[in-house]
Amino acid sequence: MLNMIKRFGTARITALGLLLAAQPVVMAQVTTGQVSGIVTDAFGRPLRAIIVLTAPQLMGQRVIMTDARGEWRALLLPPGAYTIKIQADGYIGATIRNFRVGVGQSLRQNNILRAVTVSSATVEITGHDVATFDKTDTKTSVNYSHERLIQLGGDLNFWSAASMTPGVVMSGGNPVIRGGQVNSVNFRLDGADIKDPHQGTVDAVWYVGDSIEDIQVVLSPLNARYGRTLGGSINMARKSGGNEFGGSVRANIDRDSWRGRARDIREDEGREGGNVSDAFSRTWDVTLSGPVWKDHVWFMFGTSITPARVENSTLIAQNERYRRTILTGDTRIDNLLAVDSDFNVTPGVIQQIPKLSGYCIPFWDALQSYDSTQNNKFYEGKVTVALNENHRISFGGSRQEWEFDRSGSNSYLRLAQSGPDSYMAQGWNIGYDGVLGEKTFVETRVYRNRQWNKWGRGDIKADPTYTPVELWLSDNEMDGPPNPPNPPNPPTPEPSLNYVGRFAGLGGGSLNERNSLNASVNLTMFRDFWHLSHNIDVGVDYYMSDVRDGSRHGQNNRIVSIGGIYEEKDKDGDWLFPTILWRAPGLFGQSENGNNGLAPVMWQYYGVDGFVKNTDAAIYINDQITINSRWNIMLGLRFDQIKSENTDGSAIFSTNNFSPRFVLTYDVLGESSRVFKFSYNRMQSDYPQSFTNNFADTLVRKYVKLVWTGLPGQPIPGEGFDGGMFGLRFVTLPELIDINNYGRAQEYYDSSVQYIRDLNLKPMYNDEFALEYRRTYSSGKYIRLAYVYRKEGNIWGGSHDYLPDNWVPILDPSNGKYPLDNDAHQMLGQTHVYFNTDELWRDYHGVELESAGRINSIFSWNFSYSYSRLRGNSEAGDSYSSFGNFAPPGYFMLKSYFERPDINVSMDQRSPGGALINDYPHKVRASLLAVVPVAKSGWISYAAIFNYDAGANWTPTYPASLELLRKEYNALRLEALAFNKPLPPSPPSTWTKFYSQRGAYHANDTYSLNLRIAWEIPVWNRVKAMGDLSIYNVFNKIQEYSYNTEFVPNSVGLDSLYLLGERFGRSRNAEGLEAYATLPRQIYVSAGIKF
Amino acid sequence: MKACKYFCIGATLALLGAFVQVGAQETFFFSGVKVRGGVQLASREDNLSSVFMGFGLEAGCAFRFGRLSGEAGFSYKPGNQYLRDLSLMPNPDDWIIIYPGYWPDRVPNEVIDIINSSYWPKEKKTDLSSVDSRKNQLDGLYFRAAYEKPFQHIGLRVGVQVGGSDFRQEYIADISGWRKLGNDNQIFNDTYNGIHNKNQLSISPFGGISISSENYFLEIQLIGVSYTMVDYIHVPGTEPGKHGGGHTLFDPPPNKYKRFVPHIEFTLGFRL
Repeated sequence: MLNMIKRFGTARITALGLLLAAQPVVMAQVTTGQVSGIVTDAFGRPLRAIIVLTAPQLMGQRVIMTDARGEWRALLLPPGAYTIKIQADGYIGATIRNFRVGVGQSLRQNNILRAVTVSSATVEITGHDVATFDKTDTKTSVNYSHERLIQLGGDLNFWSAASMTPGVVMSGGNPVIRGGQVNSVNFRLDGADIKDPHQGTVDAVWYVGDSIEDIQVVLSPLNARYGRTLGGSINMARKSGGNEFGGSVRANIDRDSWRGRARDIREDEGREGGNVSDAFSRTWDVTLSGPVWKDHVWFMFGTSITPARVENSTLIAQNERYRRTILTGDTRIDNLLAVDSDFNVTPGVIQQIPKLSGYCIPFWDALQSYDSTQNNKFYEGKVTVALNENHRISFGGSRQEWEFDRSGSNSYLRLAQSGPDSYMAQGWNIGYDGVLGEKTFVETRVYRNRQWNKWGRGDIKADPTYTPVELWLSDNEMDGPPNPPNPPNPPTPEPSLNYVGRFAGLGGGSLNERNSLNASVNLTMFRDFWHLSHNIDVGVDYYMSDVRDGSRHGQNNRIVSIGGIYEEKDKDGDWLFPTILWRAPGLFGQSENGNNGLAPVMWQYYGVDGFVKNTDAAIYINDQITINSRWNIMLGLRFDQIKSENTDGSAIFSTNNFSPRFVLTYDVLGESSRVFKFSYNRMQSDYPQSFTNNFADTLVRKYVKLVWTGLPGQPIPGEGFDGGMFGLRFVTLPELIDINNYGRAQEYYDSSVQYIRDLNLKPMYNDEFALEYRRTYSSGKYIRLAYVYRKEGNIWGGSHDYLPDNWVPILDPSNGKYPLDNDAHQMLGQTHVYFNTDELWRDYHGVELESAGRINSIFSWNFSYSYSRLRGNSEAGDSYSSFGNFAPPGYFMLKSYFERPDINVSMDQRSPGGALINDYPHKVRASLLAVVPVAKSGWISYAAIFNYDAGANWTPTYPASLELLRKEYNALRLEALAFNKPLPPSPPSTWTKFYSQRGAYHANDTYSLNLRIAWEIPVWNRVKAMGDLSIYNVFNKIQEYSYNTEFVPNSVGLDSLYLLGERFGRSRNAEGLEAYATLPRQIYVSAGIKF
Repeated sequence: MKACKYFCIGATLALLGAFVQVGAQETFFFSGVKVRGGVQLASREDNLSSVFMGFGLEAGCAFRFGRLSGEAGFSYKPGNQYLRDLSLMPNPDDWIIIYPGYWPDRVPNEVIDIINSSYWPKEKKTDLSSVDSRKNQLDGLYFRAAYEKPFQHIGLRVGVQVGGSDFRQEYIADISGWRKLGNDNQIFNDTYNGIHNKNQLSISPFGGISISSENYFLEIQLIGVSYTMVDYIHVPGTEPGKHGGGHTLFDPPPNKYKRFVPHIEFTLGFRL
């Protein structure tokens, strides 16, 4: 369609790039974009023209000449708005203003120039007035500019962009791209991977929203340059700065009372966190940028300031059982344990002890309020250096510090919380982009990220010494369900241990550290040979991550289980712990496994920190071939050497993998208005840290269990008067954690011999087939229709079969220092074997429909609809938990046992196929946007956004009893005890039984209407007032989840499903609340200035 | 082999695209993609939403006497969870079903004693009640055939839809009750859960108008959506339902109700 504009001189054409969600094109860039085009005359003949691109983020200007075919291309363009001038001798030139280039985006700008007619008083310009997408794009993606996100998306972050994109569903707040695993999405900021290598998600703050220029959601990374994902990636580019100083200050404001309420949300039940102060929540985002040396060095700085926020919360209602001591059954000792609170105990001194109350921690101050304080700081910066107009270097970095302190005014926190929890994330990156010639470009990136958590008191900058001790308190709840005459008794549960925390230590807390490093070099070349035009990418990509997996358990790598503690310190300021000598399991109130009771138990772990290093070294080549104006073909091949190594460099896993890529593009009319694209793409993942850490050969996976052998002179409990103490002693913390007071090793543990893996265990991959059609109209409107099929391969199965062939002896990890007690027995360990299997499957089918357009100069709209089905018989490492779920899938759990004729439990009951947890069949996003110009350069926007999402699916399951297997185990155990043989490993007591096809039930679909008003209004000179008002779920439409269920054996021995929930006339569920699928109405406001 | 098969299919489709003759109304062959939303004109039934959504691909030919087209797509009509009216359950044995609020004041002590001696969960004994929770939806692939008589930019359309009417009911329930039988007091507790599907090729006629421009068109039509509703029936007091269906010898076949529900639908189409 021709756009006729009559004007003297150069025609000014306003591009509609804001509306275009361009298909990523040929160039596989993650920090820059590109524009290419062809200049012809009215007869289609190529012209020799000069193209000049200028933009604030482009140092100087980019001047390009068309080649003999009239084609031109500009690569490595920093994201932002450009002015493009096209001039050719004898022809009327064209100027395109506000031409937006997004990160990783490739756009096409073709122009037809008219010859100047001397006799005419007017000149006519014909040409396309809108950019079209580049059909040779080697990915499928959607771009969001800073402005578009402000006007439509709400927050300037990955998740807002992902939520709006078809083919992406949000699972627990994290994106699932075309059925890929939730922790397999790559997140990149200025080319740097910022994903937590263990969690698989982005949890740290890495940017200030106002410093973001563009976000790209990549649905299918077709170019061989991309790897290490089973889903897609989300790329984000910061602003670079410019020759003019600029900046912004924005306050983001939120308040609890601005939120709507759902039915039955109770705030005053005494739950921890139930009462939240209705204070303003404010975060200040500040950015500043400008030249250090005009046209040569720019800087960008940003910070997010969150004033320390004090929240008042209320502790939960106290369960009575936590106020009782562990009892020994010896009334003489038990009477000593109930003492008055005013008594000051002198440890080691025999004395009459009056009654104390509030004996156990940590729930003394039930229903009491406490204050907690959060401090959050973030800084980022970027320096861009232009060596000349063809070579740029950028340096960037960021740092976040977060501290959460609950050591307020009450005894629970004072006791169990030895200081604030802290978190830090920092990273730096260096990048170089260079134009080596008219047809040769190079990009290099190096970045390094570190993230670490620290719990307990201590300076986050201090060298961690892991001084606090990890304490666990015995559960007093010894009751189990009554024994019915029929059916057989369910297994009596062992009393549990309740985690107290890292207790009253000095110095630093325990540390958990996650690091990643990436280096890449990519060379892009445009060459003509074999009568074809080639766009070739070749390069190398190295990625490394290592995680110190929180393997430290407190001071000196120890865990201690205790029976109780006094709520107050003694006169010397020491906490006091009651102890008796450990006799045997089941005696003096000690549990059957010996771990719970008044006699302390210590687990001494061995070795250095858990440390696994995963690497992915890749080399690739990708060739985008233009055959003619209608046909394009892309061929790519990527080779990944993927490894996982122990601390000492020994291999855990090591594989070599090839990933082919293929794209066939057909442009019906040769003008990019009607384009079919077929693609095949193998996406290869690496080994997630959360998985490989299970196989680390570090000694932290080994322990010796020791029991309390007492202070000098401490007698056996119950034997003798002992001055009225009957063997009871109160000890201080240093005495409690002194390993010299322990001995009589009861048990060894060594997981390194229990997790068996095939050294050649291959990481999973996804084979994707996609067929896509895109129709672009002359007005700039477009519609995209795509069908995507993905099939996962190399899925990991984990075998957990209770068979003697799978048992291995657990050797002494202390190397003889703690031999087994005479009453203890050597144990055999159960092995878990991991392997690739074809018996597990995971498929994705998706249809994506997307369209956008402009109604007039003010109104525009966007619409997308996705229909998808994610099905399989294994979650394959996908779950709501970021750690992944690689536990043995139901199918392989005790497989040989269930297949016995006398057991005969079918696979449909153990692990049926069906809808997986991230299967959300329907997603609709529709928006209407009005942007009203204000003054010369300002605007006010009004947006209405409608969201519709299918409800989550669920499967009724139940931890069914393995009664027969436990009986068989008990028989083997008795035999081993009788003949002094190693004890067999204890099988699990339950297995997960499915009561329907997987994902057969669904929660209600949810929908909401959001309204958003945003503005940038000139105030004075270059200063603008900016801000936005967002109302989510305007009509407070709240969808409820279904119900909570519980399976228990009924009166005839069958497992029956009981429904819980107050609206059914029953008790509340464990959390005491109904569950809601949609959040109530929420209001957010931001306001500030920019210049 | 499977990969090769998909590769060949996809490549073939891409190549076939080369022969697609897309264009404006004046061409013989036309195609388009449609997105659709509709609203029920009658009162809500079957605990389904009053609205539905769908999308489809259309292809057709323009003749002198009008335009003939075929459309393949998918439609979806959701429903929210609801609690079944327990008083409507067939109850041949005259069980007194314990409803929310009924327990324990109106239950004889003798019955309470029986319940307490049975192996029911602790929570259930103190909050005894009955609930039958269900969720219905209607969706499925469909095919439409339509004839349109154009008058300038407006056309009159009639046609039929086949399919798009797969009814699905999810149910999960837990009911309990008691009765006095002679001198004895008896109790029951049935639990059952399952899924019922009714897939059929129903025929739904439609008619309306279309308004066209060069690249888009809008259709406003009335459609009578035909489907068969399936409602699981459980007889209380029968043997406790097992997982996977709760069916016993005493359960009658599910109720089936044929429906014909008028809707008004709005379709936005994009010419390919």
